[in-house]
Order: sequence, then C-alpha cells, then structure tokens
Amino acid sequence: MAEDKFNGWLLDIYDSPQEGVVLWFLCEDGQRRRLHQPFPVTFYAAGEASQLRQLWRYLEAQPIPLQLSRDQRRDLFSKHPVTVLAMQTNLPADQARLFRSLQVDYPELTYYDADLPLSLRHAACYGTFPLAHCHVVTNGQAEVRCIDVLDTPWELEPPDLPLRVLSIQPDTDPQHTPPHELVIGVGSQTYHFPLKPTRPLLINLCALFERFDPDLLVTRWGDTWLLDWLIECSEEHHLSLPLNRDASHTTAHRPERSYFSYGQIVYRGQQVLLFGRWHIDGCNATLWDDYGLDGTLEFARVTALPVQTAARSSPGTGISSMQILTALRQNILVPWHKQQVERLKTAYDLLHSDLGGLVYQPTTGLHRDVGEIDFVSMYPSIMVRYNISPETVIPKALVPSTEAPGLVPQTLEPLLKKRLALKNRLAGMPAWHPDREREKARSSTHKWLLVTCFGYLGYKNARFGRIEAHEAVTAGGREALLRAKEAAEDLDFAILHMYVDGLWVVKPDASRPSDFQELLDKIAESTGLSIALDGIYRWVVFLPSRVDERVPVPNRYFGVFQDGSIKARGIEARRRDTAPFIARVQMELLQHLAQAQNADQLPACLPGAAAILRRRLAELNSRRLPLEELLVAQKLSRELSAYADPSPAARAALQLQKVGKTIRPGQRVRFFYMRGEADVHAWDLPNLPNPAALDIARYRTLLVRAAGTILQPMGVDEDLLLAWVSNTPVDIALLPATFSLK
Amino acid sequence: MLDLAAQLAAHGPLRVLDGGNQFNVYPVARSIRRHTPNLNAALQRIYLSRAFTCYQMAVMLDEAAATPIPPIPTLALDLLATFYDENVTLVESQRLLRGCLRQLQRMSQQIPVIVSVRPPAPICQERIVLLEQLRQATTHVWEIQELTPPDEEKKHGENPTLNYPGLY
Amino acid sequence: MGRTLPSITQVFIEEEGSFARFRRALRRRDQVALDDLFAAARQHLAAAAYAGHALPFEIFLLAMLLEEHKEVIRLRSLVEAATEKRDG
Repeated sequence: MAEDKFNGWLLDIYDSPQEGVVLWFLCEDGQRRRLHQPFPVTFYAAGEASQLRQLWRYLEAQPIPLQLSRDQRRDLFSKHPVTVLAMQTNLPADQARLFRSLQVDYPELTYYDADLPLSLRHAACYGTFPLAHCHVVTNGQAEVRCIDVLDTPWELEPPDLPLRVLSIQPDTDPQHTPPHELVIGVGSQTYHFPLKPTRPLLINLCALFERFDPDLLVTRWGDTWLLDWLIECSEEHHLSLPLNRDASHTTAHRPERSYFSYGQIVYRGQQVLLFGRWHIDGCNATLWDDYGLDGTLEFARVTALPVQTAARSSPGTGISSMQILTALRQNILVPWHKQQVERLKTAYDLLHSDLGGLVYQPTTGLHRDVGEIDFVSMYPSIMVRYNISPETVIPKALVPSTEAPGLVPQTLEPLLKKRLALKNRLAGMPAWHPDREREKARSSTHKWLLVTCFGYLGYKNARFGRIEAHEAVTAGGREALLRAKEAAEDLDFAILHMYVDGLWVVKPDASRPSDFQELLDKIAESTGLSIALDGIYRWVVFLPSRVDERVPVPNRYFGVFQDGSIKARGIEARRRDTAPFIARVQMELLQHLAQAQNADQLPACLPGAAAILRRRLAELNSRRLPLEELLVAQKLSRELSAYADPSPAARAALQLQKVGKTIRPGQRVRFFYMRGEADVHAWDLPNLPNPAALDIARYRTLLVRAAGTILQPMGVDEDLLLAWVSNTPVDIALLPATFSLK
Repeated sequence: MLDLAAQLAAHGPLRVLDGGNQFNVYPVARSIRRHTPNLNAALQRIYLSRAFTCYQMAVMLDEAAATPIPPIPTLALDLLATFYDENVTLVESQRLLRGCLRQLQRMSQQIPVIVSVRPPAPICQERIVLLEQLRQATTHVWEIQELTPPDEEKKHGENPTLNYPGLY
Repeated sequence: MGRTLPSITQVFIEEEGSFARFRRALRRRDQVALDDLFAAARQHLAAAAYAGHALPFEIFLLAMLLEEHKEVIRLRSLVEAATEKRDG
C-alpha cells in the first residue's frame, strides 16, 4: 500500500462507530479530505480495593472489548499517586457507553477521564486543535499513520484559510411571521428561493451544496427552525439534502435548555450539528454579535473544542476545556465530579474572605481632565503572577509564591500573553487596516475567556476549582487596588472613583499621558501587575442614583476621551431593554456634547442639544417612526406561572402564550407600551399593534428621562428641561448657579 | 439555627457544616453580642465549611467523620438543599444521602449533632423521600411551623450523658 | 458561586430599614436630617466592606461621624475666613 502525505488544516474531528476517529482536513491543494484513525481511549476508576476487584470481574465478563490494567496516576489534589483501574476501549463510542453503565452499576467509585470531549483527548495525544496546520501521513487508504502539528494555537498570525461559506436565512423571524423565502449567500452571489413550492427549493439547494461544497453553513434560526424544516421537507419529498458532508452520519440534535448562570437565567435554543461541515446559527451562537466567525474560530483554536461546539459554548466551558487539556498533557487525572471541599475556616475568617472587588462611590458630577487607569486583566494576572491554583498553597495577598506554577496559571499564561500581544498590536494598528476587525474579534474572545476564568475558579461544579483560591484572587485584587490608591495619593492625585480594577484620578495640570507615567510605574512596581492608562477624559460625568441624588452609584457614567471617543456605562443607551429610538437619541445628544473640545465649551453646546431633543420629540409625536424603533425588550426572569404580579414582559409573554408561542425564562420578550387596559402588545403576535394606540406619552417620558440623564449634570435641571421641551428659547444665562465645573 | 450557633459560640467551640449557603455571619454576630462582649473571640470559635453540591456534601461529611476531633457540637445547616438539585438524579441523591447519614450517625456517637432542613419546593416534590430518609435516621425531631417556608429542625443522635454547658 | 455573606449594600439597606419605626415617629425635618446621615454613610461602603467588621453598623456610625466632622472642618474654615475678612 503506497503511503500518502499531505499538508492541511484540521477542520473537524468526531468519533465514528466503526473507525475510531474521523478527521476532516482542508488540504493545501484545495481538497477536503476525510480520514480515519484508530484511537483507543482510556478512563480510570478508583476506590476501595475490594470494589475494584469486583469491577475487574464485571468488566471481564461484559461484551465490550477492553484492555484492563492497574496503574498509579497523579490526582491534582493528593500528594501521593492514586491507585486506579485503567480501562481502555478501542473505540471512543464504546468508552462512553461503558461509562454510562458503570455510573448505574458502580456509582460508589471515583471516575477520572470519563466524560471528556474527543477533541480534547486527541489534542492531548497529538497536539491537534481546530484549524491546526498539520503534516499528515496516511496508509494510502484514508487511514492516518501519523500526524505532525506544525503550529500552535498561540500564533499571533493565524493562516487565512480559503473557507467556503454558504449562508441561509429565512426572510423573517419564523417566531414572528411565517417566512416567504430563503435568502442564500454564496460568495458574492445572493439567491432568493421562495419557500413554496418546496420541491424546486430543495432541488436548487441540493445543487448549490453539491456545486459549492461549503465548509461552513451560517444560518439564522438554523438551530431552532430552518434545518429541521429543511430535513422534514426533504424527507417528505424523498430528496436527500447533503447537509452533512459525511453521508454516514445524520445530523446531531441537542435539546434546548434554560439554566442559572451568575444569578441570571440563561436560555439556549436546541442545536443541530453537522458532520464534515460546520453549522453555525447566528441567533443561537454565544457572543456571535460580539466576535462573530473570527472570534469563534479563535475560541475553537485556543480551547481545542470543535468549531460547532465552540460556537455554542459559554466561555466557562472554554476555560474548563483548556484546564482539562493542561491536565491531560501532564498526565494528571481529570475528575468526573468536583471533589474538593472547603477547608474549615472560622466565621471570623469568612468576614474577611467572602468579599468581592472593592467598589467605591464616585464623586458625582462633571469633572475635567480625568485619567482612567486600569489593571490589565487583573484577576488572571494575579492568578498567573502569584501562582493561585486549586492545588498550590494559598498565598497572602500579593506575596510571591515559591512553588512551581500550578495547573491554572499554566493554563492561563499563554492566553494572557497572547491577549497582551494582540492588544499591543491593535493599539498600533491604524483604523483603516484590513485586519483590524478580525484582530478585534480575536481579542474579544481572549477577553471573554480571561474574564470567566476567575469566576470559574470558584464555580461549584468546576473540576479544578477551589473556593479558597477564588477568594485569594479577590483578596489580591483588593490589595492591588488599595496600593494603587496609595500610590496615587502619594503623588497628590485626587481619586474620583475606584472600581475593582480601575481608578479615575485627577490632578491640577495633569492632562497629558506623560503626566500619568510616574504613577503607572509606581503602581506596577508596588503590585507586580501590569497597569495602563485607558485614556484621559476631556470631561466625564459620574451619575447619582435616580432615586436619591445624594447617593452616588458606581458604574453609571459617561464621558469623552481626548481622542473624541465616547465611553458610557449604565445609561439607557447601554441597556439592552431600552427602545432603539430612545437609545439613539441619547447617543445623539452625547455625540453632540462630545464636540466640545474641552469642558469649558460645554455650555455652548446646550442650545444644540435642546434643538435635537425638540426635533426628536416632534418625530415621536408625529407617530411616523417605524414601529420597531419603539420596541422594548425585557427578559423574562422566571416561568410565567411564578409571577404574582406580572411585569410588562410577563404580560406580553402571556399574550404570546395565548397564541401558542412559548417564552422560556431567560429569553427576551419584545413589546410595545400601549394605551388602555392591555398596556403592552407583544411583538411576535400575528397582528401588529395599532400605531394610534401606542402609549406615546409613556415613550415621551422615557425619552425625556434619557435626555435628562445626559443633560442634568450639565446644569439643566428637570424644570428647565421641561421648559426646553415645550419650545421655550434656550438662554444659557438661565442656567442655575449650581452648574459648575469641579 | 443561627441563634443556636451564636449561643454555642458564646461559650465554646463548635463546627458548622453549611449545605445551603445559609451561614450569614452578621445575625450570628449580633446574637453573640447579646451573650458576650468578646465577639471576635467567639467568631473564631466557629469552624465553618460550605458545600455547594451534594457530592461536596458527601465528601465534607466523610472528612468530618474521619478527622479525630475534640467533642465539639456539630450543626449541619440546610442539609438537603444540594440534594434537591434537579441536575442530580433522585437515585443518585438517595445514594449520596445514605452515605451522609451514616457519617452523621457515626459522629453523633461522640458529639451532639443537630441538623436543619427544609422540605422540597413544589417543583421537586418527589424529593420528599429524602426528607423521610433523614427522619428515619434521627432520634429527635422538632418541627417549626411558620406561615412562609416551614423550617424543620431535627436533632440527630445526641449522646445523653454529655452535659453541654450553657445549653438550657 | 460561594458568596455566603450579603453584600455591604444589602447589609446597609437592612440596617437603614431597621430604623424605619424610629424614623416614622420623627418630625419631618428631623427625618430629612436622619436621611442625610444615612446618605453620608453610603459614601463609605467600600471601606466598610473591606473592614470586615462583625457588626457593620458600628462602621456606618463611624462613617456618619466622619462626614459630620468633614462638614465641621469646612464650616470652621468658612467662619475663620469670614471673621478675618470682617476684622481685616
């Protein structure tokens, strides 16, 4: 048999009932090749000797072919190696099946390496990962003899692969109105195929698939409606649609679910996964709007999860995978369930350890020439620099460790390094650079993974989590912030606000980046962590509580940097439930004020702001706005039956329920505010609301309130704002004496 | 139960195994203060460990039963909370609970052990069997009936010859 | 995710709430003054959290006193300036 060699990039990996593992490669010569590889898989059981002996006898007697052996392996949390029974199956599918029956018959034992994704096992063995560049040698018959991986997930410049992308989407949201046609995108061509008659649609789609042979199918509502509909139709018409490249597999389905995460209910739609091709549903992919395809591919690369899984995984799953891979590579056993329990601490200790980051109340009002300095990836940096890991000794805050780096720092370090390198690169990239968007997306992926890894350390189900480690990280963060504060005060800066990993500082005559450098150096030295100047604001406003003006609120502010860019947090335009029209107007006001070159020029901008507000109010009153602009989108926080006093979102969801559309907790309900008894009208109802019945007065109030958020700190109090709104001419001299720059 | 912890801590050491994230130190501190001015010293006599899954609970009780300790009372708060989790099958919960109850009984031969539990919420009513399992393993049961979430206290295997100072 | 103790803000709201009966029985302008005191204490929640005090209300009282004293310092300097001006 003649050997065959080629170079290519790994597209997909999954298990096959007969062949072991199937791998798909995008070869350098442009071909897409399907190969298989034998891949025996091992998992372990530990427990009392007599139980293990019993297990051995049971295993010898059952039908799945196995190799059994006794072994000593390293458990992260015990000083001595653990004696385990090693069970090796020839086929990955057999291992999964065997483990399922052991869970029932031998639940008392401790299992390791038992429920791991195949791609991670393969990655640990061969160093592969999605889109890895490989040199492959086969036996001439599509069986892999050996794989050499030629790059790593940490390359700053990943290859630009000639991926073939086919996009399909219905012309409307199927939940809202039944679609009429499918819009297909192939390269630069767009096709519109009416849904009925269905047979020609299927034939055309088939032809496109065969001619174009896409690597990636991007859809909208593909998981929750489209693919199932296509499959159903193709069965009805007895036409086979080659959704899978691998005809020996049918599409895989995963059910929908709602679950709790960080105190919020999250909803995930069902999933439809393909073999040999990727399917990504833009409406059901995690953070798709944030980092899109480039970010998803990066996620897959660094976590070693298959692309389709990566697209639908939360960053927590990503971090977990990375940790598992580190463990596998070092022959550390990966426990099935979290075993670690908190060491006894006194109630007194709990008072000091059960705390988060320090959140200060800002000095409210308008301030000028304010520097915002932030620790760079503070918690991950603390974990890496101070060696905080579930198995290492818990250090006192910011005291260097003498031990070898633990599992978590080892896992995070390359990710942190890549993040910093990419951030630096982006900082130096001009706005017109063609790679800029792609690099931003990849950077965002790193950010999300890093942001999650800290939370994951304390997560109750994390295999390699430990609450003391989690608490040590926050303790380090508090210590770092306090040292930064002390450094700033030693250099005579006034501190306007502090928030977990950032400070807003100001000093007379400090208005250029160089004025802050000494402070940055001092903080870096005393904490051992990277800190950077996020920017200098021409002016920034810290907002008080809506309820009580004397009470400051952290994380509600807006301001303009020296480069003209706007930063806003916590205001209506940044909230996902605000109607688009109102968000737009608020940003418009902010952008108008951003024209002021410095804080002194702000009063001069106010008449223009008043004009904008009046114009937009007139637009609202005219009722000529597209309906979608007034859609409010609130999350349903619990099952409908659990509401004692239904919120507007719940009332809208009830309307939908009456027409057979269910909303799960965690999903957003979109609706309008209406006049009259039914004070809401859900968006996805079969009929649109009567524009004349919209509660324009309520929208008006919301708009004026959003405008007030921006203008009140400028000295325009509520009375004045209402006067402006009713067309009183704006006279700056009328601004109350309370308007003053701090 | 927090009040009980406070009373015990005012006079001596105790161990608290928290199965439901219940141990809010502040009301305990206020309660201790009513008994003694040495608040911080009392707080340092409360040895606390928290479990967030039933697997952790099982391991926690294994470790608690195995560690040789001086005879200090043990309070287990909201023991069944993690066992009501819908992500763990009822069969598995029952198995884990059996192990936990064995350990609690072992411990109760040397020290007073008091366990508090809540009945399951309406959406997982079938888990009431766990409550029954627990009931059968106890020697004394007190029920506190309140209008909103009833909270049952159970006393579990107290050694009758141990006269604990400061307690009634 | 492990947070057992309520946040300092929750503790503060509870403490403030425990004075509701006292507040109700006060005259209206005394109520306003009391509210001022609590608003003043709110300025220092982060430090109160970091303190990890077993009886947080003691810290809140100290924070109220802190703000009162700052006001005294401020008024004192105003008075001194006004006196100088009158005499000078």
